[in-house]
Amino acid sequence: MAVNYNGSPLLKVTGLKQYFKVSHTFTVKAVDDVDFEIYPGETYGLVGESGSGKSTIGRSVIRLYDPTAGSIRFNGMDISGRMKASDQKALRTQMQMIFQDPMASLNPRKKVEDIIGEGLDIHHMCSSAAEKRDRVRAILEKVGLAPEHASRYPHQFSGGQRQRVGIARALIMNPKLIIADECISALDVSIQAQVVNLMKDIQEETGTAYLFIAHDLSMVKYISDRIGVLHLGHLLETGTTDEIFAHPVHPYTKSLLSAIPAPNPAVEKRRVAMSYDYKTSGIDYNAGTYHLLEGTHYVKCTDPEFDAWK
Amino acid sequence: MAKKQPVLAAAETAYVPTDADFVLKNADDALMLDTNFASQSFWKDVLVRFFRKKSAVLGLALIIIITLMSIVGPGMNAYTYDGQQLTQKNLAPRVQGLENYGIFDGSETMHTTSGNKTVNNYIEKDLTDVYYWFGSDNFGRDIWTRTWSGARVSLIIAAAAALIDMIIGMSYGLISGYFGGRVDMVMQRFLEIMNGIPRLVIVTLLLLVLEPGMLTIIFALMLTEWVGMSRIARAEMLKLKEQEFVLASRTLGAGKFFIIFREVLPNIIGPIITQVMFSIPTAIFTEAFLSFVGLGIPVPRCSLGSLISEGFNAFTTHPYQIIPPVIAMALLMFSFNLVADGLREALDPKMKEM
Amino acid sequence: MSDKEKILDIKDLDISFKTTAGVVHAIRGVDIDLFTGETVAIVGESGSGKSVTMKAAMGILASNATVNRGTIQFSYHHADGSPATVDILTQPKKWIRDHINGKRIAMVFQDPMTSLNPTMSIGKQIMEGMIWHFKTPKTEAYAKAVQLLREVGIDDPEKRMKNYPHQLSGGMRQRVVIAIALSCDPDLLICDEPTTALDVTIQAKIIELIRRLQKERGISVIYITHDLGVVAKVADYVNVMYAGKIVEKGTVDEIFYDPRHPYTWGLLSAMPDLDTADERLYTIPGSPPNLLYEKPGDAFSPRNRYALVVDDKAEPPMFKITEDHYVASWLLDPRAPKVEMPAELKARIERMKEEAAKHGSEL
Repeated sequence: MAVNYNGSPLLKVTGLKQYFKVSHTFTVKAVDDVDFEIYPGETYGLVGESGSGKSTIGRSVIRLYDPTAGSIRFNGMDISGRMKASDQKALRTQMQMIFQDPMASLNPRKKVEDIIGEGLDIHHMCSSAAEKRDRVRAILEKVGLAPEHASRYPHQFSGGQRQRVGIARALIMNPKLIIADECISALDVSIQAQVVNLMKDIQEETGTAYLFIAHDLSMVKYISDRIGVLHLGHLLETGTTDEIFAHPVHPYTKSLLSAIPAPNPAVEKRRVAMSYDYKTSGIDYNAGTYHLLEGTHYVKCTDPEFDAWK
Repeated sequence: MAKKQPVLAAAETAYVPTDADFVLKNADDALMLDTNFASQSFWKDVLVRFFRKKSAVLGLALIIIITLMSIVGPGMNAYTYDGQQLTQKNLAPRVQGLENYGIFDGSETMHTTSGNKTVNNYIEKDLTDVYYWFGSDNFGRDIWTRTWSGARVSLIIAAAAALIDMIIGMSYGLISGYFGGRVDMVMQRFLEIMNGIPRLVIVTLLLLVLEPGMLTIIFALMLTEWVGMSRIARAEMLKLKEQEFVLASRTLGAGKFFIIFREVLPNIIGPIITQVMFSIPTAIFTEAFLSFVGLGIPVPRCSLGSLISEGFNAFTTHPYQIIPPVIAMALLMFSFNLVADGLREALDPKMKEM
Repeated sequence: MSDKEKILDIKDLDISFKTTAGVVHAIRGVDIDLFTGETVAIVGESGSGKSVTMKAAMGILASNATVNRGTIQFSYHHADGSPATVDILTQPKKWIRDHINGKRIAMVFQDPMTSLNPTMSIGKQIMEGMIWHFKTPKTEAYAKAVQLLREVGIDDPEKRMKNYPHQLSGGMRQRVVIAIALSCDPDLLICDEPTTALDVTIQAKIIELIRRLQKERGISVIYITHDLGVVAKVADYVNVMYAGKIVEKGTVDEIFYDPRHPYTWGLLSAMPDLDTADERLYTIPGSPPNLLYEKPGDAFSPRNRYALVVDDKAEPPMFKITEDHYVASWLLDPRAPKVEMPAELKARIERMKEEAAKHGSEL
């Protein structure tokens, strides 16, 4: 599905800051001044190591956290501050999330049909129990599970099957944006491919947009239209997948790309990953501003750094 | 490990494939639906594990027996718990049938200054047709009847304690844990103050305004008994509230109380039940202690605690009077603890199976 | 080939577990051998039995496990240099603890946070093994621990000795775990998913570290992993495991450039490389089997697009392709129809070979 980049973005995040106060003297700056946009029907990949703030961004956007500063505009609504009840309801139906851990993301004491139908119940979207059941069954079939299994409990499913249930729970609300928070990293390789294929099929069919958060770059490259590289809460580089992979600019992006393992023994045995250490690199993320390279390819750096890297 | 004992015989019936077998199945459609499932329900697993533990089963059996006895026991003979027969006081246990074997024949050994002597008051008072199975007390009341009606009081207290635990303690802990922050701080400080006042002081103060009796005891329990449970519930809530399934509910727009009671509560039912079972013996003991010091069930009604107290007064002269309530009490606490222990293991298996 | 010394020889290993739900036949006749100084990777999905096999080799199976058949021969040298071979399965637990675990076979686990003791300084944890197994004097153990920390690439080792696990980053912790594993100079190192809990950039560093240490010390390494990138980087030989059986084994080049089993095809193509541009990834349908319910014939057939009728009737034997390359699939039977690997994978392998040739010529 071709993405229209000339229209208005579905999600526009500007200057997002998410700080957590640990004690009176210590504050963790999990996300610091991040800008990015997601267009309808697009897949935006967020990559970074653990602690880079990629999951925090996802949770701030869906308002599991209250953002410290910055604005989040979703589908024409401002969802960064206190929301009107109607906006709240729109956010909770039109934006959905798929979680990382297929074991923990489904309530072990609830039947699969109740888990999937929870959103319908909360927002009273079904007029009768029969309608709800039919919708749950239809969605189960869509994600490749047998509808007869609707009355089972999560522990009776394998990891990949549970992740499908998680996808079904998000999908039944017909969302415009799905935040996929590391949703394949806990799965076996063969199952990862199944889930990614399923997500692609769904996008084709429904035109939903994804915010795909992951640390596995080869999968991110495969699924994403555009990518953002995060490190220590800063979005260092963003652009289309080709722009990032063909012309990485930021040293961190380069080191990240060099670390991707290739399933090719002759090449892999000789490859040595590049090292990158923020402390010794002499780069100050806080001093950087976004510089445009070409198209949608931005890098966060100071002017002299920009001249040196580009 | 490593006991060489074949569980599965090697596949000896080796099938010899024929040419006809080497054909592609081409069952692509069947591949698309995923039909691999494990199937064993959580509660069935819990039951299997619980009944595998012998001590827990023993505890459960004892509780059932004591409960049954507390229901039918007082009606098994003609005596009532408060019926006094001053002519028949301090009689030793005497049981039909057993008396012929030289035990429970109503004789007791008296310690006197001139040495020990064995007397049988039934014979001396010419009460040939009278039987007190556990003996009679200082007012000629039947200890059998009193023991079981005392046990009944203890069990009612146990049930009350369980209810209080479940309703007050659990809700308090869950709410305090879920909201966190300032709410949690205030609720926890309040709880610490409540917990800081000694129970005896509370009960004594309560007796200034309330009549002594079962309700007062339950009221006293209500004031402090739930503290342990609320701590457990709060800890479990803190553990679960950042779990992804709770977050998922929040992203779907679920309300706070929906999350607390519909999402989280069913998941902590294991520790809750265990805590209830452990708090029951404490409650029983509290009641017994209060009755023992005279702040409990008023006479002529009795509880195991007041029976022990009375028996204690006659301990040197008629030791049989204290034995039945002590044994009933001990068995009751012991078996609740066994069941609690078994439940804890059954609900929260630490050992992984593979 | 014949003058190489075999260090571990697992023959026909068969293990089942008694669980509340019934008997789980987890390992069904596994053969693995490993020669001194070489690296074997065991690849498979979770539940395929790869970790259980290695736990058996360490003598740390859970108490509800039953070994039905098989031997695990481990060869080592006594302190005086005389060789010895034991069957781990027949040795008492205490003997294994005193003579094998940590001392001759060491293990690196997946999660460095849980495999370190949070209440003990890392220096103490490194010295513990030496003091326990060899009664090394404290000062000597201390010196060796510092040396080990330096070897695994930790700066300022003297200072780090006093640190506790929570003061270190994930990558550092895994380095410490490796230092602990190496503290008694083991002959065999078993790495159970050593990098899955770590970030990509650190993953590469840890793998490179293990490879360097292996070369320097001449130890043998077994990798348990589901990450084919790791396998490509480290392994000499690969065993692909499915539902408690080895379905394909061979040298790393044979597995990556000439895979024969449909399951291996699926594994290889499920992982996109950076040049994958296909609309869909080729996947293995379905999910791993539940070993509670054994099915006759080939356990993989319900998920196999190339399943034959015979797959439901009889278990395939190991077909030999080359000296090292074995495949358990009826597709290799001369009577079977000729089946080609999926086109996507074929294209990918061609691409990989080209790239490999390019790299070869550059070097």
